[in-house]
Amino acid sequence: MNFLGLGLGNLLMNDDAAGLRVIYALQDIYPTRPDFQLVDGGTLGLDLLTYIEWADKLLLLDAIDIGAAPGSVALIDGDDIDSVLEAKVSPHQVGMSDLLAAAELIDDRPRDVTLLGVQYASVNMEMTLSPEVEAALPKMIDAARQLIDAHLQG
Amino acid sequence: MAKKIVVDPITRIEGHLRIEAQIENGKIVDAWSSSTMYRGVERILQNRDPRDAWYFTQRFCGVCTTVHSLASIRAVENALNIKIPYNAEMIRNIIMGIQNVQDHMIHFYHLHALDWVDVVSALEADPAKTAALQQSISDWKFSSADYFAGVQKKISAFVATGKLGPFTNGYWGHPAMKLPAEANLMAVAHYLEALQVQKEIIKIHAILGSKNPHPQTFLVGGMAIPIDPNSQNALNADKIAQIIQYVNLAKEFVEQVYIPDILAVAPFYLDWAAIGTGHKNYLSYGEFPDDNRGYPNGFWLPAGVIENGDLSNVKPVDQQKITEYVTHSWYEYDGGDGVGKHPWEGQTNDKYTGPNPPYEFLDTDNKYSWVKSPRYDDKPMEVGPLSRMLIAYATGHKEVKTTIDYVLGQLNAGPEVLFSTLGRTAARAVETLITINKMSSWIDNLVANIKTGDYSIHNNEKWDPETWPASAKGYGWHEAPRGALGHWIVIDNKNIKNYQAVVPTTWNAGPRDPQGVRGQYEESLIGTPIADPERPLEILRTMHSFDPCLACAVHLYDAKGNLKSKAKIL
Repeated sequence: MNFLGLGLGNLLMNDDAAGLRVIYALQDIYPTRPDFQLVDGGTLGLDLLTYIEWADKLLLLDAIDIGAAPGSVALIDGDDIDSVLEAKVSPHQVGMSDLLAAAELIDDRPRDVTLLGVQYASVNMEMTLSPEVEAALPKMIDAARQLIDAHLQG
Repeated sequence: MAKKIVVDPITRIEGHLRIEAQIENGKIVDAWSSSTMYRGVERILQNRDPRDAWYFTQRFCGVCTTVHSLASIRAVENALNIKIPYNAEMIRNIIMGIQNVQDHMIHFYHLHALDWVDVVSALEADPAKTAALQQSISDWKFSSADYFAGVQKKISAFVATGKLGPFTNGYWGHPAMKLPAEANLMAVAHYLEALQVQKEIIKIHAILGSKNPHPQTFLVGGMAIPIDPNSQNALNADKIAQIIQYVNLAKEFVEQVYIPDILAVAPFYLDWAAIGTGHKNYLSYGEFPDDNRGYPNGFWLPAGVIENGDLSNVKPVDQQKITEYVTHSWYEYDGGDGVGKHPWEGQTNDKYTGPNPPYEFLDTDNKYSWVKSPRYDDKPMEVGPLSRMLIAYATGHKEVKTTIDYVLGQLNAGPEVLFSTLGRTAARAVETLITINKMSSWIDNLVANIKTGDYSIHNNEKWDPETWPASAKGYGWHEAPRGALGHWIVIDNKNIKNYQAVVPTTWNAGPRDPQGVRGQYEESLIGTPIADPERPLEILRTMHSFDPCLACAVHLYDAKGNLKSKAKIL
């Protein structure tokens, strides 16, 4: 079973970079294997379809807006994922729902999609995270590690 | 009766372009183009090392990641007067070429086709008749009745799930939809096939860029790709063979699907060859250095300026004539907003004076967009594939002239029909065809040069900042899929003092200038018939024909969703 961890975000847009910061931290911990990849997906685009169709299990790491306290780390999975992505909680160009729909249309949608997100405080043109989101990164990395370890051991 | 309508957002897959249009007697009589998102990415570059700028500019946009890298390294190379090795030039051509091909393919099938193709009608098509239609237009391998019945079944099942995805915003059953059901089904099948093809062919970027998205091998002075025919870790014969394979895959699809589709669909929409014209001013910076003199010499696609549709007089481009106005944009300039600034003197000081959302209309008499108004010799310009193809056509470019004359012959029309919505869409297809056919010559040139024993890929004479002048200015141009992209850089004391990007969508989408002259989007909408103001499909057709992309023109942000209940807070 192929596992893809996909970090999303724009490095130049402060809290929007959170998903990328997490993926870089995870890349230092887990080596790539034939059935395991951690990818910096940037701000999406149809180019990512090639990774998504490869994956059976997809873990999205992203800054999100669900109206929670800034820095809250949240997990969205199961049947909720489509309605949440449809509403575009993550502020990117080609919506994740568009990408998953495209994957479904070519019969390659991952069976299992999970979103691990952090509520952002601000999205401005800066290269640093807000204090709330910076402080939440260890928690998000830890949550991602638990999901990855469960997969690798399962 | 006059009525003002608003289309917001206008891009098919996420975007922040907004159009306000005044309609009288079923036609658009005035229009305003606005981006409602802030852009200010240039400021992040100030005081950084110019050699690192490309790494940041690459993140301007998630859709076209390579183009800002190229414009940036060219700007630094221009400022420091660096000539790059021939191998690097050819590799850049291959990267740029496949980017344009993939981007045009995605644009046509995934961002534009559904303006002309009715998905709901496709569900009613006869698969056998669709197969006959397909077989009549090309030798494409997927052409059986069973195949089309399968596509129909898949789309029905997808629509039945209620997750419409990319089909959500379609104007199905609109009176301006003219294709027979079978043509609709054929096009929907190609929509799905193109999804597969685009993701394969862009793997060339992963081979030459180490990774994609966001290739990592760009470098001021050349490329960071070792060339060694005997090493697995370098650009070798195996990797070149893979690249050739992907080029062949793209070529087959373009020749047997994309071009035949354009020729099959266009006759149903010939009225669109007289709609969407605009100012008829066209600008191209020129692209694809094709001989060993190196950039910016020997362009395969020429640079030039056409004014007022005069194909007999293509003028050279003078970068000093480029200015940007903010009279109607939410910025302020030192020295007043009525004067244009050349990008070297450019400023990005935001000052929002628009209404607080939610609002019905923008204050279009004053400032109404986050996009600036670029002008060339004080005139608005259109940029993009149509501009490149017109300038090449007018200067007698062999492949362009042959292909365009063939297409015009098929449609029984003269070159004047190119100044239109349909012309823009056809020019993009023509460019895709000639570019994919040209790719093999760049690969051949690269291979032949490597065979002479020349493995050089980087010119490091000016790598050390100690070799630089105390101050320098440069500009880097690239004909990106969407058109003329320029980065301007001012280097002072080894660091970036000022940096400005004038992106293609800024040229096309900019608001009015101080004289009240409309931007190209705005002008191109004048006279467009609107069958149903509640469903302004016609506006989308013309806007999408430009391939709008505000992902880099602007900052990204979204409306808040109240989705807390679906999330488990950890």
